[in-house]
Order: sequence, then C-alpha cells, then structure tokens
Amino acid sequence: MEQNNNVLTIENISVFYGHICAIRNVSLDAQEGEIVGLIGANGAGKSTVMKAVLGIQRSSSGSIEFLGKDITRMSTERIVASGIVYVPEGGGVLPFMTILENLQLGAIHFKGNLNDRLKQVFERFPILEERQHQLAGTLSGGERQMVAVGRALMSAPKLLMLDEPSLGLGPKVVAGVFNIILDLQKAGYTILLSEQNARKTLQCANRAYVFQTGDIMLNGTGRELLDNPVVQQAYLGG
Amino acid sequence: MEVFIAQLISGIKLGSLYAVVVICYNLLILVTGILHLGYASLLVLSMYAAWFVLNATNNNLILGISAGIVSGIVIGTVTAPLFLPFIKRRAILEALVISLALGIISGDVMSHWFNLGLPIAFPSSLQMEGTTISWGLTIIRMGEVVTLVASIIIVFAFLYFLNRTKRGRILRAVAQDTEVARILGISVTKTAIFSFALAGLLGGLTAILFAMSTGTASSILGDSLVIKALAVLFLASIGNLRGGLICALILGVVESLAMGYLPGDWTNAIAFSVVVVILLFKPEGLFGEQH
Repeated sequence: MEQNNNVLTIENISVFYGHICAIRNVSLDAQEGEIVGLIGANGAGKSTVMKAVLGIQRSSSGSIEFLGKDITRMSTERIVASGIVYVPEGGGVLPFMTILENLQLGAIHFKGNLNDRLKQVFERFPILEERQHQLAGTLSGGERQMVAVGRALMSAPKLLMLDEPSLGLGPKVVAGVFNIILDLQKAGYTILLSEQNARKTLQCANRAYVFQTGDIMLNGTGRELLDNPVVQQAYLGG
Repeated sequence: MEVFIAQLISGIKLGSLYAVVVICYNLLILVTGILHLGYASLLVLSMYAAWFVLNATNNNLILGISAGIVSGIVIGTVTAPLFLPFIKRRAILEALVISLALGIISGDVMSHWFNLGLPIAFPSSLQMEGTTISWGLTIIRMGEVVTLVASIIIVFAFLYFLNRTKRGRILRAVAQDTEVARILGISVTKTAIFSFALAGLLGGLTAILFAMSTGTASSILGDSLVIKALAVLFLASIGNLRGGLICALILGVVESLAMGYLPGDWTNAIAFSVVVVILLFKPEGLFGEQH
C-alpha cells in the first residue's frame, strides 16, 4: 500500500456509455481534508467520474482506491456503507417525503447514534429542524440543496462528492452554498466538488482538475489554475 | 332493512379483503414497476397450501394457518428472481408475461392436481361456524367478524410499517426515485425481493382470511380476484394507496349489495363501466398520482 494520506485514488479509469466514451484514462486523487474541484463544461465527464467512484457507472479499466481499499468492483451499497456519499445534480431530494425522512434515509448505513447525528445536522442547518415535517418537494432550490447536503452528512461520510451544487441557484444562494462547502472543510470533511462555476470553485478548492470532453486537460492548485491563461480564456471569461 | 345491513357488513368485509389485495398490487407496482397479474392466483395457491396441511393434520388450525402464511412468503420470494432481470431493464411487458404465466401455471396446478380438480372446502372450525352474532334476522359468523377486523388491522399495520419504519422508508424511496435510492446506498434488487416477500406474506394472510370468510376456494377465485384488483387500481389510479383503499371498500359494498338485490352478479360489469367512463374523462383516475 502506498504511504500517503490519500482518501481517494483514481488511476486510469475509462467509462463508456455504449460505444461512446465518457471519460478516458482519468487519474486523480483527493487527500484528507482537501477540497478537490472538478471543473469543465457540461458533458466533459465530471459527473461520470463521481458515478464511477460510487459504482453506478462501471469503469472498463483502471482502479479506484478509497482509504487504501480497492473499491473498483464493489457494489454501490457497500461503497456507500464504507463512507462515500454523492449529492447529485439538483440534490436528488425525495420530494414526497418530509425533510426528516430524507435525512433519515441518509443514515441507512450509519452505525452510530442516529439522534446525535440528526442533532449535529440540525445544528449546522437550523432551518431544517424548524421545517423537519414539511415535504421536501415544497422547498426552494437552495433549501433542497441544504437537505441534500444534510442527508449526505447523516452517515458521517469520509468523502463527500458534490455534483454541481450551485446549478440553477441565484447568486446570493450560490455564495451561501460555497460558504457551506468551506465550513464542511473546516469540519474536516474531504470534498470532491464538480462545478461549472469555475471561478468560485478555484477560489475555494485546494486543488482542481480541468475536464474537457472526457480528458483531464490540466490540474494544479486553485491559485495556479486561476492564474493560468488557458483556464482564464476558456472558463473564467478571459 | 335487515338484508341491507347484512349485505353492507358483508360488503365492508369483502372490501377490506380487496383492500389488502390492492395494497399488494400497489406495493409491487410502486417498488418494482410490475403489474403482477398472476399475484391473485398465487394468493389462492396459498389457500390450497393451507387446505392441504389442514387435510394432512386432521384439521390442525395452527398448522394450517401457518402453512397458508408461510407458503405466501415462500411463493413471493421464490418467484421474485424471475422478475429481477426485467425490473432492472424496466421491461414492463416481459414482466407482465412472466406474471401472467405464473398465474396460469398455478391456476392449472390447482385445478388439476388438488382434490380431483374440485373446489376445496375448509373445515367449519376455521370459519368459526359455531359462534355467531345475531341482530334481528341478521346473523354474522364469527369468522366473518375476524376477517373484517384482521384485514383492517393488516391495512393499518402495513401503513404504519410503510410510513414509520426504516424498511418502509427504504421501500418508499425506491418507489419514488430508483436512481436516488441507489445513490443513497439502497440495493434496488434486495428491496425488490423484499417487496415480493412482503406481498407474499400479506397474500398468505389474506388467503387465510378468504378461507375463513368464504369457506371454499377454487382456481377461479384467482381470476375473479385479479379482475377486482384491476378495477380498483384503475378506479383509484395505479399506485395511489389511499385511493386504492377507498375504492376497494366501495367495490366490496357495491358487489355485496348487487348480489343482494340484483339477479346474478353484475359487479364486474358495473365496476368496469365506471372504469371506462373514468378513463375517458379522468385518465389519471379518481384520486390521481400520489406517493
């Protein structure tokens, strides 16, 4: 086993949808406590990487290691149980269930005390406690994202994968979402963050990978990429 | 008046039995996407299992009832793998054919294998024939009272399970959004098998209650039951649990009253005329979609 503090190590994975290649020989890693950004246009393969980690999409080659364990062929159920959670685009909140029920569903593999965990999530997002018996479908986009993140935290995960958390939200709410992400990092979570909002992402990420049509084009620290003329040209509006 | 009351009570009893059957249909539809046409026949097969054990044990009620319930769970669990490949691909039509095949095969097994193809009769002790409640000219057998009370308990217990327990939440999550359920670490396959087993358990219980209240069974009962279930499903709109309960009760009462006052059983004709009208003018069903 390698001597590093990598939470996640992806080596040379490729994912095909039928004959179409979604990602090609992608390698990346995330170290403990880091925010790792994945930026790039729609369809560049950011979500596919996350789905491959979760085992929803299978990679045809390469390997995925999580906390030193090979999870490449593990079932999604066991991958989630081992501490990886994924918040899909739009949050994936179940609209016909209450906020409380959504949160409880986040903890189906959680072994500790459910009530303590719930209390911690409510402390982070007090508004969810106030509205816990409200149907999640009645919430605004930003509030749904909060439920989705809260639900992800219910299992005390070791890796949090957020897929386009700011998509479709107003500017004020977007700022709130990024503040939440930075708070989560302070609390010690390791975060993989896929975003089209490149500037915000590079500002808060320790490191980032730039995706283009299934390949990683560039990678570096957030600062390096913000200063990179190619990135500025393509993703930061010149 | 006495006839009316007797028919009304028997209608509510029948309706609450239908309600349990409809719950099972909705459970399977919501969780697995399958309209299990053969389910009613498999339920009657559990009645045959109970009858078989009752015969073999000289009418030991406890063993007979257990046989009905256990056979329901076993049948549900054993048949589930037949559907799994189609559930994954959401191949509704193929799944429909499989379920129809199961119904036809079990129907033939019942009508050719058991009891020389004759309808089976349950011992009067199961129907509690000795004990009756009478009110004027209305006489109700204890078996019918037990059926009514038990099926109401089953319905409420199921709703409690669905809404208040972790397993119930998992079922509802899969029913609402399979993709999201998978992301949350729920095994959709295991949940599907579980829902088949649960539908089997409820089917086994219902089989015993049918045996208690009607005293006989034949393979035709399955065919008639699936028709009633379809009527209720379309009336209430498929997948609507609460609507299904209400419509099942209405159908039971209508059927019972029609039998009391009309020459011959016109219930199916009445029910499906209403289904046609509703489908034409309110295609989403009386109650619309609800989870």
